[in-house]
Amino acid sequence: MSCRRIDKLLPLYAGGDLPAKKAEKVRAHADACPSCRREIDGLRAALNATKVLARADEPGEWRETDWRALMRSVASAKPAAKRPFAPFALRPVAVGALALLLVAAGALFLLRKPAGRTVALQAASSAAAPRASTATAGPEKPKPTVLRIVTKDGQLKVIWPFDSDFNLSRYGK
Amino acid sequence: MDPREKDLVERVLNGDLAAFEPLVLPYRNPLLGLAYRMTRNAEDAQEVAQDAFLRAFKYLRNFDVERSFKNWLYQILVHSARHFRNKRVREEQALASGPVRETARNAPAGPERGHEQRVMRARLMNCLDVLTPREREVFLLRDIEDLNIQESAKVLGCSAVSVRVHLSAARKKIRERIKAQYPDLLGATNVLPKN
Repeated sequence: MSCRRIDKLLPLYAGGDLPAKKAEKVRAHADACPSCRREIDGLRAALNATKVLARADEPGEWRETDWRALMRSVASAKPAAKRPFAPFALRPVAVGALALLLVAAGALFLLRKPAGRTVALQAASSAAAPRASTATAGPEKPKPTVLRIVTKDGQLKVIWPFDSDFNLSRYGK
Repeated sequence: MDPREKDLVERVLNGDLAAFEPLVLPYRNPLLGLAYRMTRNAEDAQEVAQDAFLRAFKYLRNFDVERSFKNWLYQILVHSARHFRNKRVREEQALASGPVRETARNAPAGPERGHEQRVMRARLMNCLDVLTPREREVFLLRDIEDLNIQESAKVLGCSAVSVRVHLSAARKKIRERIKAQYPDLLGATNVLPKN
């Protein structure tokens, strides 16, 4: 590991908050790197100093009158009914449900057929349908259904004749 | 959870309100201390701690007896302190032209305890001032109250990864502040466990 990568881990290592495997890597690096070792010592000394300060400055004490007043307030307070769902327990469930909903909505959006194209195809197909129905009326020589797709400017035309099995090969034979 | 605490919780839930005081008594000063370090003001700390105890009583029915009662109280206190801080910010924005509030550095903090202790408190507060609110919460819980990473995450309602990130940043900032302003503290008697 390089010093740059180790540097990010040093504050956690100094306080004993790295998992054993990572801590071992940092230790191995620090044994060979005086600069990182100095950094660890500095962090430990600073942490130690804040702990010493905090211990010297013991938390303030309650004034007895304030404490008694608080206990009187408690005695007159009404306990809340048990909430059916604790918000902290619910949070992961809510996030999961929301994520699932988003994924489902996204999938629906992507899998949906483009509406305009479907309508156009249906229109063209239905326009050809009457002719197809008259064409297939004759039992001897069934005429194919013809699907015509024409761009708005009329420059591109796709004409697709097909029989009832969507088979192109039989047409014209 | 401690069997004595469990028994007291059950008694309170069964309507014995007198059992609430012995239940919270061991934590009243630690909670006030944490509130003070979070709010940096003795009066605000008192208000936050009172609010936390009242909420604890109100929502005791929601307490999971498998959890640590102390950590549950810390969790309530952290939420009370955040709520209080947001309220204070809104008030100060509304009264932007009003007088500046006294902070821990210029207010008489708690009872008189002698010059040396006041100096220590001022130094600690000055170190904590360099942290963002979230870094301060993480640092206080992990490094001053000695909760582990998982416990801190649970109290703060965030992930362990988030705690690690903020803790790492907080320790670096504290180190820089102490190095720059109180180099004499760096030789303090060691209280840290070895890795």
